[in-house]
Amino acid sequence: MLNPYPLEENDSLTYGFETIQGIKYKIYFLDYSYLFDEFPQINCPIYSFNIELFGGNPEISTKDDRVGVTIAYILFSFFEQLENVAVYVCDPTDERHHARKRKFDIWFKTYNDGSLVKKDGVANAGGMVLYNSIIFHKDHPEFHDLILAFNSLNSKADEK
Amino acid sequence: MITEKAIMKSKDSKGASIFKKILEDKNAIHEHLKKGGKIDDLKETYQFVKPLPTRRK
Repeated sequence: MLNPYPLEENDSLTYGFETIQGIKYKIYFLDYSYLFDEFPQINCPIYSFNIELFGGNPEISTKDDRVGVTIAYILFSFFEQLENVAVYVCDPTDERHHARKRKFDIWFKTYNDGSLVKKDGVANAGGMVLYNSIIFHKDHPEFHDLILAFNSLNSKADEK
Repeated sequence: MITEKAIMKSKDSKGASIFKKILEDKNAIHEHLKKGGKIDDLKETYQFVKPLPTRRK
């Protein structure tokens, strides 16, 4: 089993790690709990999980499985707090949203030990197709409310 | 089977504004970093959090 790369905390807002090939990643979470105000039954923190590549040249680097292991380590640490919820949206602006979704699905299937639940949705936003997912712990105290809210977010505006 | 074209022609989803906001923020932060900006410059604009449990060695 591969070890995750050591996590650096160089500032008070992000996490980071550097691969053996010199590729640097910055990981950050943004709190979007306030966007879910219309679901009063949900009282847990909801975050977006983001990965930024900011150093090195990934074009010339070879496949590195420790990156996936490190990201899994970060997410599993995140979900040690049972109430935490992560939302993930695939960016469609460069038409690579299918590839992003596929990669994310494979990564999740590879690393999920069964303790996490991922629900996938497809939303329409002004003609843009937004693949999105919500991830939470299987023992989350608001499990059913989260699924109801997520289904509602992905339903059409005129649906009940 | 629901195709992408059918989705695009349908009305916006209820969560459209939420998902768009999440994407817009991500892209704005990406552009800021690409131009050499620091995350610290953005701490008043976005709600960064560090939710991982602290591990002491």
